[in-house]
Amino acid sequence: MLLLEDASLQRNIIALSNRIDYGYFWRWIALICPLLFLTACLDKISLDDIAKKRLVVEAKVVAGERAAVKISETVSRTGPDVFPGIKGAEVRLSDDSGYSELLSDQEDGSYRSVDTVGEPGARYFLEITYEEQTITGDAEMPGWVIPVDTIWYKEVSDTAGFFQETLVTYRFSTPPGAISQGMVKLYIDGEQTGEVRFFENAGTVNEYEVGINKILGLGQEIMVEAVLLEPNVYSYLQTVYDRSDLSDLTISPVAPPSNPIANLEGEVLGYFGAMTVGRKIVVVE
Amino acid sequence: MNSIYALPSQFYPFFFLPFSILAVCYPLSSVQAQEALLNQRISINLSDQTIIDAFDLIEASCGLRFAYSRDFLPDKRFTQRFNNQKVRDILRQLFRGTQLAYLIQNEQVVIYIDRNRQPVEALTKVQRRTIHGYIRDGATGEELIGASVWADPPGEGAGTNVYGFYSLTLPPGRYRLVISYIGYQSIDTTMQLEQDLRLDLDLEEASVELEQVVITAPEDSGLFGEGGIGVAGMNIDDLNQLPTLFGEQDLIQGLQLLPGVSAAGGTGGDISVRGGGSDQNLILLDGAPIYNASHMLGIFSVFNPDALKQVKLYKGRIPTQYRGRLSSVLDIQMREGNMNKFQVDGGIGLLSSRLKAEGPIVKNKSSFMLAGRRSYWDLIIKALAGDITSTAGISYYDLNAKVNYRIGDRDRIFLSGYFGRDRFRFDASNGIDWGNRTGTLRWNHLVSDQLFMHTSFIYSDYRYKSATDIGALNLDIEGENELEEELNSIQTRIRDYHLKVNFQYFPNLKHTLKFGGIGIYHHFIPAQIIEEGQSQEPNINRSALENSLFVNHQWQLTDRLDLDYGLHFSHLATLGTNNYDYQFDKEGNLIDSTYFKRGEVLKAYFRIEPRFSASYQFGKKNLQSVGFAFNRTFQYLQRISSSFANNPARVWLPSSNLIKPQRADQWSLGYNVEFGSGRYQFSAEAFYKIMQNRINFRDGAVVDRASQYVEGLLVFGKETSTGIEFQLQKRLGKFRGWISYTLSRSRGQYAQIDDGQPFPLQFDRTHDFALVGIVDVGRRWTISANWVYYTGSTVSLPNGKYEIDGQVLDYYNQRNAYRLTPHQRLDLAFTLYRKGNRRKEASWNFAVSNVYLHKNPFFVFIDQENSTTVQEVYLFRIVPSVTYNFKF
Repeated sequence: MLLLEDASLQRNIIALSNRIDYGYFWRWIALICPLLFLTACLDKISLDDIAKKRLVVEAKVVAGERAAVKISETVSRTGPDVFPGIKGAEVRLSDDSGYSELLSDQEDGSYRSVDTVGEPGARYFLEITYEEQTITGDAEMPGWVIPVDTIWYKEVSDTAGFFQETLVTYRFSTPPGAISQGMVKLYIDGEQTGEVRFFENAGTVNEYEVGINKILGLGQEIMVEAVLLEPNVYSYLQTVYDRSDLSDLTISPVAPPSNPIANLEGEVLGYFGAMTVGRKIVVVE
Repeated sequence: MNSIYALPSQFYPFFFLPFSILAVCYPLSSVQAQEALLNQRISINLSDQTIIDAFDLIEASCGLRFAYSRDFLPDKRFTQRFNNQKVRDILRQLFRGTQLAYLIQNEQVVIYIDRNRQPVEALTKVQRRTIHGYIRDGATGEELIGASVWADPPGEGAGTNVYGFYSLTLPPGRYRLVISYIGYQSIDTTMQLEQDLRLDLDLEEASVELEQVVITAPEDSGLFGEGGIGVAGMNIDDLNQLPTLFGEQDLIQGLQLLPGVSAAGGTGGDISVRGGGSDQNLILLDGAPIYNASHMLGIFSVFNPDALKQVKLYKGRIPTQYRGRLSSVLDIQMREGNMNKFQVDGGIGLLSSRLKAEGPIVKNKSSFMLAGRRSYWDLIIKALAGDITSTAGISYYDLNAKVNYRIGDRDRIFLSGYFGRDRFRFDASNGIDWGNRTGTLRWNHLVSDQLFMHTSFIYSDYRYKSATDIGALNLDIEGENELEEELNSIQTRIRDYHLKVNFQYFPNLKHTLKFGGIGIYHHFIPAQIIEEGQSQEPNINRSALENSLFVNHQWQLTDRLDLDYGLHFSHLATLGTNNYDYQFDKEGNLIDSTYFKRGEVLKAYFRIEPRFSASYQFGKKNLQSVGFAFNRTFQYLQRISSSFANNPARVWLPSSNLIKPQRADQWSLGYNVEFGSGRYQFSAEAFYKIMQNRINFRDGAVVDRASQYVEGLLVFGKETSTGIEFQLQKRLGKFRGWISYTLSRSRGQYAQIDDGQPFPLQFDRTHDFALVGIVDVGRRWTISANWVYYTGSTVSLPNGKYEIDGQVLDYYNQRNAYRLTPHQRLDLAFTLYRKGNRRKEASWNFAVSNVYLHKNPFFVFIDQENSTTVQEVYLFRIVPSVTYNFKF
């Protein structure tokens, strides 16, 4: 039995099939004729509509920023991608200095600290109580920041002018010694654009290019954010992004599909991350 | 002395039969008279004298007369004084430790052998002679496996081993010998055995009329095959008559019709035995392990039936000489080739054609067999596209080759190999290919008439390669762009080198001793990047040395009770390869690493695997038997891919610091009955299997074969499988076939999956039903049909969604919570033979697979958009096929 959803081999087949040149149409018909004449899809398996809902927690303590926790829950696959927040939870954040704070309920499922501001190297403890459920987690913020060194961009087009885009290149370096694990995001006018890149190295100059399918206008803001993560949160977020990326053409052994797990205790999905962020902004001139 | 020792020994049974009857019917008064004779008190003195001397002294002392044959009296000499002892007590002491017994007839003491008494060899020292040799097919000169050699007296016999060898050790005398094998005319002869004898016999094929009677359903699919209960066989002749997909005769498809065996993925290639995963089956071709038995992503298996001689599937009691897998051993022997004449046969089908040639190299000394198959979808594609240079297409080929040479009477060498490959190409640079290569060099040596040895050197290599062209858009300053293409590939490979020495010792008819050992060097490359043709050093690269010794004793304790027990001592040393071994915490986070040089022992395990089975036969008119077996096996190699059963990217790793050897304990209890003069057989077998240290991926695992941290993605738990299998066979006659049904349940339990709750395993088949029928219509037609139904495989599907960091993810409530639609299918085949012997002539095979167009899911497609349904994609709604088979 093949699981098309999780079998990257099948993804490979589909992805490669998409490259079929119409000039080779008959060749491909012949290739798969036994399947074409004999194959069809069945809509047979009906999925239960949320047999058991679970809480989803995204808790972040970012260096130099106030802590933010978002609580939601799983929703039906049939509905829109709207994930209502859970209000009324008791969210307590403490750190290794002994300071403890009850986070403020924003009434939309988000909770924010008033006094607690993230400090590199500090350890944080999270405790959430909601309808007799208790969720706990702890996270240690990395002791350093990965600064983004440079960002540059250029406009490119083909000779006929049909194809135009902006190519953004950014560079950052990881310090030597301990491995730095993290992710880099590119924002155009505050909106995240392009693929999230993950890095894991030490003493390395990292340089990435991102193509944006338009010519950026004057005054538009390009921001690159290098987020340094703990190992378990790094693995978790990498899994989260891999799950939504079907473009991978490598063929790998396949794990049965399941929910990524991170560093929270209790019947909950999500993660608790303490992270440092290096940012750089350039404005298009 | 009134001795009858001159009586020819072939008359013993007839001689003793009346006495046996008399012993039961004798009048009471006579019994009292006998008691008086035996209760006489006498004194005799034995000084280094034989038992015959003792009889003479007793005769002289009390007037009793002894009747006996010298042939079965022990050589032992006695030095003992008997003072005023009853004759009965003296005889008891003289007969102690022997099978000798006596009865009184007309004041004579008749000495005979009571087979229900257990002899003590050290005391008896009965003279024994050995008849040994090979049983061969008279037409081809090939040895016959499992042929019966029966001797009367004592009315017992033995089967030939996997190399056609038998050995019977009996007292000197005259015997009736009956040699028989299914599909062949029996030999029934008498002979005088006075000294050790080499007796090689050729059996001739039965005529057509006889053949219709003797071709059977899978032999030994009941309880009491060579390995005890839970042994299934597949008759290659029957296999060739069963209807199959596209008319391609397929061993694995045939095995799936047996109880306890079901498809694991596609129609051929992988099987699930008693709920186990496909990685738990040891598949051996001439002793060489086959790591992927699938062609065409699991649609067909790699075994060409033309090249096969014998197939045995051990699923209950795994014989002690096998090791290394938890659920089953599929042992396949290749044909050796016709010793007498050159012969070619083959077939032309819709998808592929096959050709086999065999014949003598040196008549009666050496022969060869060469069999090949090739599919031609790719050629059809090229022809239709009008581009014969096209590289796109799907194809496979395989080649079986074997030569052998007899060196004198006691030695024979064999060299065999298998070479197969699948190509799945989309264009010149995109696609996958995979295949097995094996080689076996074997030396059979008859150490003595009772001791058989075979030594093998075996090589096995499985390789999978995926090539992808990665188009990189390179934009220059002037704004022109060009496509740069780099050919990259990733390969997975496992190579084995085996050295195996096995012995079989046949001291007498009641005992067979097997012992031996094997050493295996494994080399694993889970992933290796090849960039522009240059192989990179793999990130993870392991080797291991696996050694084992075994000893097994088959003991016919009584005429009805057989025991088979043994121990297998296994050892694994996982070796470093100039790289790191990583340690992980419970969450799978890397916590430490240790560097190991090449050849340095990273981790070693030693395990003992007891195996035991017993069977008891009863009933006269209808032979019945019950059996029990216990089996412990360890598996040191793990396949790191699970949910996609036929994924050819097979990644294997040896046990390590983190991965402990998997262990299975299996208990089986069975009942078997033959009735209708042996035409029918019914068997039932219940089993319970518990497997420890099984591996699975932790929730959320994203597997990258190239990562050296792959072990951190694994979790360990236990799996259980329990069930009951039934099979009713009609084995003889113009209509033959069987019905099999298995009711089973398989569960897994892992602390880190579903909060430790049990969940159904992927191939948990609640119901598995198969109906098979073969009927001969006249002399030229055979019609066959099979209908199968089994519960759908389990699958993990999402039933919700949630958002993390702006990404929408599927929510999975429980592992394997859903099932695919049950599989059911009716296949039909019509075979028309040319006039003459149907085994020797050409035939047309017309087959239809899935006659009533049932939609059987092949894979599921999860709609990535919002949906409450999953699409099941099925293949092959109805597949007609025609195949022409020829032989000359």
